[in-house]
Amino acid sequence: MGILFQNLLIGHILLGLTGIVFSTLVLVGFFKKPANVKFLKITSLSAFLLYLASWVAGGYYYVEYYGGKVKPLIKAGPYPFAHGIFMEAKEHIFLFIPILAGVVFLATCLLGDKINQEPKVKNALTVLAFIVVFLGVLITALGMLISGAAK
Amino acid sequence: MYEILVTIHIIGVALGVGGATVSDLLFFKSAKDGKIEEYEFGFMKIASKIVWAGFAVLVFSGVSLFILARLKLLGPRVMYNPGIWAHIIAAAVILFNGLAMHWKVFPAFEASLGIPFGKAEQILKNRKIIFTTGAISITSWYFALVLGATRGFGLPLSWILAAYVFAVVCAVIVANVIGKFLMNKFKQ
Amino acid sequence: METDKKIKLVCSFTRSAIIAVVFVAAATILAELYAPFKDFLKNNFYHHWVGKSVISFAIFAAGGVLCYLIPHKPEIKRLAICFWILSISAVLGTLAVFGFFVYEYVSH
Repeated sequence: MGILFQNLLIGHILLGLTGIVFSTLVLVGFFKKPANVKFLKITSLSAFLLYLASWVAGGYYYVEYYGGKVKPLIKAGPYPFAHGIFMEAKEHIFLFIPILAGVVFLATCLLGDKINQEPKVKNALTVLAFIVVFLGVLITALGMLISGAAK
Repeated sequence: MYEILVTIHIIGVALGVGGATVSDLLFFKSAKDGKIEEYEFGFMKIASKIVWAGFAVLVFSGVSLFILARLKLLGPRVMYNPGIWAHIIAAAVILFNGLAMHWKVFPAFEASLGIPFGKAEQILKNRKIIFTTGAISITSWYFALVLGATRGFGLPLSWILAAYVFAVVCAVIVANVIGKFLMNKFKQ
Repeated sequence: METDKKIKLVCSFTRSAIIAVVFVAAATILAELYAPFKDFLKNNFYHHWVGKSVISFAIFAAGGVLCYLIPHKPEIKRLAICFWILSISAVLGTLAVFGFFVYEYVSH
């Protein structure tokens, strides 16, 4: 693997993981009564930008390298479903995350302290933030299963 | 690079396991007088932050070790190791359990500072969650520690997970029995 | 920006996000079952996945702006419902995509 694709793969993973850390901070931030809106704005924006960066890095790696070099290795190996199921699912489920994170960011940024004044809105946003974290963890696990199958 | 990452991983273990242990001990110490004081809650919050910091260090160093293995194309024989995946599953449990604690346990404590347990509405209402999440936390941390040290004894994943579930269930039962005893003691 | 406009903006982008999520799930399944659609994406966007990425993000971004421009009265109580619908869409979309590829793999 050339240095570019190596860095793209590492970047995709670490940027995504850092995004999940910030999404977790967002979620924990929503648990507080009252929620610290400034903290939520910063962490939700960070998460959104990190997911966008992970999207670009991972996307370039996937389109230009994975299909030609890694996919054949996995399909020829003992766990071809790592591509057939896990990668196929992951590359599409991943697309939900930046969109959901974008909504969380917009909501915290524009609603501000209204989040604390409207419990139903806060609860619904908390659930959305939880789904971002859950999908992030799922994607990470799928990525590790895919990487593990390549020999 | 491998040695550096392993060292960082061990530091994460020390912070995470140490923080979780101290956090549980702090709770039982503060429970001795039947109420949680503000300064005791302050220490628990610090311990919680140490646990989260340790967890973050563990996750990043652990994933970095995985990346190293991937770049070397070590393949499923190494990267599908049952001990490693049981480790990862325990880490996921620690994460979601930790979120549950921040959602229910810490707010219950914060709402009950200085109030005797027998009269602390939030603690009485959330008693089962408090003791269950505490038990899951400490069991999961030590289970992950043992897995890391032993690589799962070469056992299949199903056996390791069965042992984990068994350990968690036992811990939850014991914790809730202790919790019920404590609440009854301070209700009088 | 006035509060009403802010609420309207959040609501608009949440609605466009719902459509984007549903599009991703639907396009994923359609591309596997109907080759001309996959070819359309590949021919116009270099790779089918790039096509889905670009279109989904365009739906989210442009759709949000379009929805904002449509006259309607924003209500903060509706926001909670929108967030719930988005959450449920994401969960169902995840299950649909995962379930579809499990089914495809097992049946072929």
